Amino acid sequence: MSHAIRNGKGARSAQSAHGELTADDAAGAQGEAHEQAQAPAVAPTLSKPFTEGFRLLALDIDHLLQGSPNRSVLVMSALPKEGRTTTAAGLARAFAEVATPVALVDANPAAVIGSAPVAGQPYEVISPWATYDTQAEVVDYVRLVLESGRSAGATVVIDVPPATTSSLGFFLAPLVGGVLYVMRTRRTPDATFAAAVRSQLDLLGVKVLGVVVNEG
Amino acid sequence: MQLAHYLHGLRRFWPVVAAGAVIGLIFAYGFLKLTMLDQASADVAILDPMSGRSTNYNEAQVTFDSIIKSETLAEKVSLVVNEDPATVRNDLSVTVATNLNPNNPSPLYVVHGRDHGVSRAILLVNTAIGEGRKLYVSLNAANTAAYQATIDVEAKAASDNLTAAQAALDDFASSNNAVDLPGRLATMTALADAGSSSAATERDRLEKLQSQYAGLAFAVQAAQARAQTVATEGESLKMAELLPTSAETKVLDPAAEEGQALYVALVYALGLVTGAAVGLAVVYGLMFTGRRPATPAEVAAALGAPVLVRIPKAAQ
Repeated sequence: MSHAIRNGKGARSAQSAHGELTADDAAGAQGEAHEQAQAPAVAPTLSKPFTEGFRLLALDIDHLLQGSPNRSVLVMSALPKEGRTTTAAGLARAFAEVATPVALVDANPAAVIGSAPVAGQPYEVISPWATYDTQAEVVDYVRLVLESGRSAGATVVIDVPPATTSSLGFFLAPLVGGVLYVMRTRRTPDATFAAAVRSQLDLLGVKVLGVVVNEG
Repeated sequence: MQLAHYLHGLRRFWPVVAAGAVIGLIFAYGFLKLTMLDQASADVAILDPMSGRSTNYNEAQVTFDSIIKSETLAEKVSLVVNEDPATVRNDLSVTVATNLNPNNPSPLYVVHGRDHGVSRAILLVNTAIGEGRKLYVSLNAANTAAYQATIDVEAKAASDNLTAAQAALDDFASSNNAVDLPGRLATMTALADAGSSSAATERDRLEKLQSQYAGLAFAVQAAQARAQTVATEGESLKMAELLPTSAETKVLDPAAEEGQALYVALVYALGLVTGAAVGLAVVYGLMFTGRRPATPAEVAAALGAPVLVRIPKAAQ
């Protein structure tokens, strides 16, 4: 990943050395960085269904993208705190088990995941907002990352800001192989947001791979 | 809340709107049951005194509509229909029929009356019109008492003046042997011209009295003219007293039942619309307060994509 930028801004470990999701990954379910800052010092034990869910998701997406030269997935949601970052991190982690190399692009300006290299980390974290200040620059940079990843045969997972607060996801969606839509049970108010997102994606000619239901 | 969401809620809660409409109709029925009275109306043509006797009528007028709505009329009518005056006043109303001539001073009034039962409503209207006509005539009749007193004083003064002037002339004529002075002067002049010396002497005497006689005769004529003028004013006043007569109020159409289908339809329509509007508002409130989170199936359906996985809570 020659275009990968390794920057210490908001750096946080995304993976444990032994390849399981960490509390930092899981805390992404809360959705925002300020909540991450209050994460407990002692990592809770992650449930097996949690990790198995992402493995199953990676399998499904791998199947859906079979034969596509563009093995990239954009993870979006309509509202904040729906588990978008958790899904992106978990998916990158699970992909790393079945199809390397894997890159996770943290295109959320909140820089939840961070990009510091971690020993033994099975995927690379790229944080364009750590280097670029404008959305146009970020889009151009992600386009380069995707081209680089395509030539390297890598799988790229992109985490973007909520669709209701930023249009960045829609700018990046036409560049990827498919979009994952994350919803959170008992929080997503109604399906009208999803319908609106679908309309916009249809307009852009983007393939929606499926829905990830976050029950956390 | 988006319109599509609200329309979705309407499809779900349409019985609420229907129930609101039905309740509105029930309220309208109850309202009509409690408040609706049978109604009758009659048309009354009024010949305005100003146009009927415009030359001699100088008194202020009370219009027929004001009389119909007056407390005085209500009290008179209440004695006939056995209702309290306030109820009578509330149940009586009057409108002016449309007229193609905007300058017509003699309008056509439509008197409306409401009561329990058509016959009572008709009785109310007929009684009101009868009493109203009497009041109209009495209130609009000229009050000539003050004028008459003034005219009487002037007539007496003119008569006294005439009597005094006539007496002065008669005294002057008798004391100076000058009764019918102009005639006697003409006679003596003719005799004197014929050569009568005694006639010439009498002619000279009469000519000396002529100016004083003429003055007294003019005073009599002036007193007579004044007495005649005062007498004419008295006649005019008597003519004015005759107005208005019953001929100025004519019942064009006697009281008859008045249809209220439009009013009933309007009340029911209002109840229906209001009830439906309340139902729509209730649906909005239900949609607003009872919004439940979307289910994965709903989101998947909205996106047209399958649910790939359910991610449980991270920690055990």
